[in-house]
Amino acid sequence: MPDSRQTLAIFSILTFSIMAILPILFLVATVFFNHFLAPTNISFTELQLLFLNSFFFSSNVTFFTLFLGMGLAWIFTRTTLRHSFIWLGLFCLPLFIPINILANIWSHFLGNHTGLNALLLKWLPSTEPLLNFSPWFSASLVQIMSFYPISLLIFYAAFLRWEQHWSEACYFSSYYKKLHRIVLWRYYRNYLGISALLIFVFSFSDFAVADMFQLHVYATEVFLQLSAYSNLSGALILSLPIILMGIIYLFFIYHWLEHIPLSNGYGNNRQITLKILSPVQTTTLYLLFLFLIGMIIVLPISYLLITIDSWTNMGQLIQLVWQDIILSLFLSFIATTICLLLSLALAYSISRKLKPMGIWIRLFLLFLFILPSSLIGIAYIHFWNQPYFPDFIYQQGWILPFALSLIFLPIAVEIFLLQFKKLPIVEEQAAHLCGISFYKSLRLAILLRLTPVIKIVSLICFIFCFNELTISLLISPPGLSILPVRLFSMVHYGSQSLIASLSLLQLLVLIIPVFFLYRYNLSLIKKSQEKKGL
Amino acid sequence: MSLTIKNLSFFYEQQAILEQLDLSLPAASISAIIGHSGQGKTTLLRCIAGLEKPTNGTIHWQNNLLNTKSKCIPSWKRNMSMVFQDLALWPHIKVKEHLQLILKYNQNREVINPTAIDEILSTFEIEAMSHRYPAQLSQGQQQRLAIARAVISNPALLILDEPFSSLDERMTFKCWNYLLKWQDSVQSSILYVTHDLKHTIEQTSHIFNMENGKLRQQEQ
Repeated sequence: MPDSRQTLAIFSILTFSIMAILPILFLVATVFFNHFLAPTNISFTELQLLFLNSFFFSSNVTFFTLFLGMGLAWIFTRTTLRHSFIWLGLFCLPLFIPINILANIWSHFLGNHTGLNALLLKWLPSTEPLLNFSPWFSASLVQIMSFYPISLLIFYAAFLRWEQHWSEACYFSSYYKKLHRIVLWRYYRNYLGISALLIFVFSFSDFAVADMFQLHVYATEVFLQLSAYSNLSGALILSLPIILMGIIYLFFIYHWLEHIPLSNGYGNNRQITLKILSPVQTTTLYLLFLFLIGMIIVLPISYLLITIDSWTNMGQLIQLVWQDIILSLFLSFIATTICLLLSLALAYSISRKLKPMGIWIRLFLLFLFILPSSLIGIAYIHFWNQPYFPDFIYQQGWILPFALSLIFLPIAVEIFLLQFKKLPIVEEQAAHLCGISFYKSLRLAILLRLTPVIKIVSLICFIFCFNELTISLLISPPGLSILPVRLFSMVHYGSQSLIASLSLLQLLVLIIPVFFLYRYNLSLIKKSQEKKGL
Repeated sequence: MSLTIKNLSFFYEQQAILEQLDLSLPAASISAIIGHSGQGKTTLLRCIAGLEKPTNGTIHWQNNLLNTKSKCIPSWKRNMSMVFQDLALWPHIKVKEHLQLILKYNQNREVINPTAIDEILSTFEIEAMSHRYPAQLSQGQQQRLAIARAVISNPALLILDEPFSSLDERMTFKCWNYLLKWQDSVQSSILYVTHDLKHTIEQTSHIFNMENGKLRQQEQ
């Protein structure tokens, strides 16, 4: 048995090295030896301003995103609000809307001569735009609306895991309120830290929104250095503050992830006391939710539909891009499979076999997460576009699914690590003692129990890969066209109607398989309930 | 009388868990409640501790009425402490910090020597685990920590719900002896629920049998 476990560990580390460690080390070495002293076309003062600008922008987005997500999660878990699960589903819908599409819709809707302003100019006697939204405000709005489901889901889990007994154990102290507050804070700060870090990193490295609203921030500058000036050392120097900041964070995130309470209950769990809502409060909440859903989902989708001038052109458009759609789906599917297999193998090896070395792999994974995706893209090009590798690997886009799978790999590994911590090793050992082989016992004792988590991870990974733009833009070889890249290039020269049609197509391509997967899952649950005679 | 319960009833979703129950315990006594599962033992302890509001009846503690129809004195004003059946340890807080926090946020903190933490950790043989989290302890160590957390604030009444269920004979004996010593020094009362009186019967002054939500005092 230990041999099979060792084989799995070696295989996962080797694959991870080829996929991530070697390309990144190669990039760092190239810059160090060839470009280290190459001049950059950006001054230190500009760099400082750029960093501060991006830092405040992302901090602002993080604060409001946390506030919105946490508030919604509290209402769904701590009040007697009915149908909270349906509301949760509705509020998580932005996860399916690609951020570049949302940015495009809002930039048009809040534009000086389009959308809202065009509507107002029709009714009111004025020639000047009546509402002037700053790019900072619009970009923040789009990022908040895109990222809040992350904090919502994290806090939803945190609130659900809190046990009434943990509060009750505080009640016997004279200053119980203070004690309760301390115990609560010590519990929630882990979740707060992790969601703040995730949102901050997503906001800081997001290129699509900043590019759409012409915001001069870090992500756009790094991309500009790479794509316009081919200035690799400039891009890497620009990335240094992010990497340094990330390394400081790494310490905290590692600590937080270790100490997130996973088990809720030693048994005999008691129901959390819910806040009973009066009819007035319920109505107010329903109205607030309808307003938020209207703003976040209905308004952008409706506006998207309105801006499509001619529906007859949709058929022609599908004919034009059907190959892109198939290719995007295929690439995302392959990337998801790679990410899933590798994350499972890595997480298993870290938790069961590679005790001291596992820490370094986790740290490298987290480092990968904070590294701007444009640098991952450029590392891949540098590593694979070398004469000693066969040409087809880079030129036919074989490296694209591997690079795409790296985006979600750190999160997937952390999710599976948390799950493995919950599964006692004795269950596997019991299977081994019954004479079941290593891989069969892995399936029996682990994979079957992780099925719901595997499904969720696959779904989110698929969405991430399908909507990914930066790496796709950099790595896609000439002649290989995928849907997000085509949409991105169209944003700069295509008509709004065409962009809207393509955006709708991308949304449908994502939502239709997700919907069928959901239906299929429901039918499986019904079947299993029928079998149990429920 | 230190603790007097009269005519106590508790209904949960129209089902009677406790029915017109009476109980009297003298000050500085050690009492036990025995009975099968699901008879309402834990509910009675929770009512005494102020975690549940009784439907009917009264509880007097140290000459104070703890509950009326409209008002219920909260747990933190009752000078009691409780060891829960599921222990209710805070999974995100280290062993030593469990005790430090209780000391810090208790009004008796002036009279407690801060070295009491080390002493108590040593008595319960968990001093080597003081920087660990509860999930990193064995079930027995967790149970000892839960007892240590409850006694460190020197409550006038210590309520224990199946306190020794996960401990071996040696540790049960040790913990029980520590509790006896502590009870003798502070003259507090102990009320505990158990299935097994083997190690504790000698020092227990009152034993009650609980059946269908009613209490009956047993001869020792």
